[in-house]
Amino acid sequence: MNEGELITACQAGDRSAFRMLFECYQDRVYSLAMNFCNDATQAQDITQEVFLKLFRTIGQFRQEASFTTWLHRIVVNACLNQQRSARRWVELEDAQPDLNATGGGQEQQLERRQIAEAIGRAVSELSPDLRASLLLRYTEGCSYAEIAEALNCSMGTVASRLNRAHKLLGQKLWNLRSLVK
Amino acid sequence: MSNQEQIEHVSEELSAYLNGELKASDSQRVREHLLQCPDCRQEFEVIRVGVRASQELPAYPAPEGLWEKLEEALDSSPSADQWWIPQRVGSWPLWAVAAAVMFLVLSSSLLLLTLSSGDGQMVFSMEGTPLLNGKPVSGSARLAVGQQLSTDPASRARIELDRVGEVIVYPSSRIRLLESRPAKQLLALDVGTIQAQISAPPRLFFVETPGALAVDLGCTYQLDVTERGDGLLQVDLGWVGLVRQEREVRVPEGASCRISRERGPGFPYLETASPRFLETLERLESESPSPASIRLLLDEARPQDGLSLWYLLRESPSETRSLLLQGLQQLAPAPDSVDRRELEEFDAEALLSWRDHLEKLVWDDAK
Repeated sequence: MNEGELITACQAGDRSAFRMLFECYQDRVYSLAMNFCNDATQAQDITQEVFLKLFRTIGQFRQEASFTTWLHRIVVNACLNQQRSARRWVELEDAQPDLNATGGGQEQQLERRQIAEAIGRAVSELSPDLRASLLLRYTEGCSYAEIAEALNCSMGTVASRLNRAHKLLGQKLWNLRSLVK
Repeated sequence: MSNQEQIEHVSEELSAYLNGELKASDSQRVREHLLQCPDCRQEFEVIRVGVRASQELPAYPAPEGLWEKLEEALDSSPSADQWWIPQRVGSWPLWAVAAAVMFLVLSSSLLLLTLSSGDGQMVFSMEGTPLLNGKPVSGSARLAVGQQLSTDPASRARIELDRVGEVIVYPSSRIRLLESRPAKQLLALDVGTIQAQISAPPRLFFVETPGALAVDLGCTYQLDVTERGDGLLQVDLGWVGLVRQEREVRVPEGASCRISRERGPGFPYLETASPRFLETLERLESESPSPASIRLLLDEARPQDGLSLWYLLRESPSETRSLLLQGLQQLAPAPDSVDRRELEEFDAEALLSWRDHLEKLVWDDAK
């Protein structure tokens, strides 16, 4: 059974098919949500909300469109809804890096886990629009065109958001540059 | 209007450049601009840290028990329209229900396999019979992460790296695929020769050798590794970085660089340099330079050989450093924008600016 046949089975009301669809996509949905909100409880809530929404609206999905893009749209909307209620990000405006910083002994001792945490924190502090573009690119491997379609914006907007997101992350994590391989 | 205002900067395109989203001609324009614009280069370094950090974002597996919670929510949802309940299942014969369940179980396995087959790269046999994990490849096969591809003296293979480029594996070679994901393709060359033609943005394609890690910086190159584990890199187009621990050597188009299993990368050089220059340079990869050897190198060097001397300068002991610094300044002076005092103080930024200038001389020589 390919993806199209599976979706048709879901649309026809087959619960086993829906379970299969869930098994195929649960890790990707959870991972996107987890990277978006940096909080396991919220990520679980978002994952559940996404699949409930999927379950309720899969009848409206037209197979000439890309299922993954449709799913991305649902996940990003669920993440944005979650963040609208939390509103806890802080945009790192004008945080210029200290290009002469050497990293220092303390940073040299950071374990990979701590670096991952620092990256996760820095990403979670980006504005939701920047974060959504960044995560679709790096956790889902989407092209600029696919991101533009999922976020309903132009490729130019995607390029500009990613450039801004990279710059903000680079500034925030500059002192860890030798540790970020 | 100042020169600065006339230049069309590329800072807005740097992410797209690093992400491989620019056309080849635009990538080339950005690459060339970066060579001559310190402002954009500084911005590039910041953005590159952001890109690398993004590439480190982890994949989180979903926790156990999510389906059960979801089912609970589905069952208790009055607005769910109950679409999943098979409407005629009650009237189906049992064998039909059993067959449908069996079909779904089998096809789910197939679907999971299909959806997760993104790992790995396609290998094509070009001559003879290459071996994939010991099994003959006739035609094509998929090289998965962790697998080994080997060629005998009569066989040759081509690896197609999705969205990255291609690698030719020459006879009597052995490579392994260590990582394969959109943000990183990592091969290990244990022995033999490969030629890589990479069209992806810099720092997506890597080859591990016993002496150093070769980092693609947008290029075409050939890499040899002997049975002993020493290597030789020859760059035909673009740049390749050779990295061992904190030490990185950037080898530009037209240049070559030896790799020692014990010491890592040597000094990049041009094959067109004089035999005495090349012979002395090779010797100094394993021994400390004496004033006599520095003078010999300076006598034999052309301006385009200055890059070899720059790397030698970077690692020279204090006894020969000022001799080499003065000689190199006469041979291939740093651009006016570089403060001479900073060079004498061995300021890292000033040295890097000088290296950029010396790379341009090599680049011009290659053209």
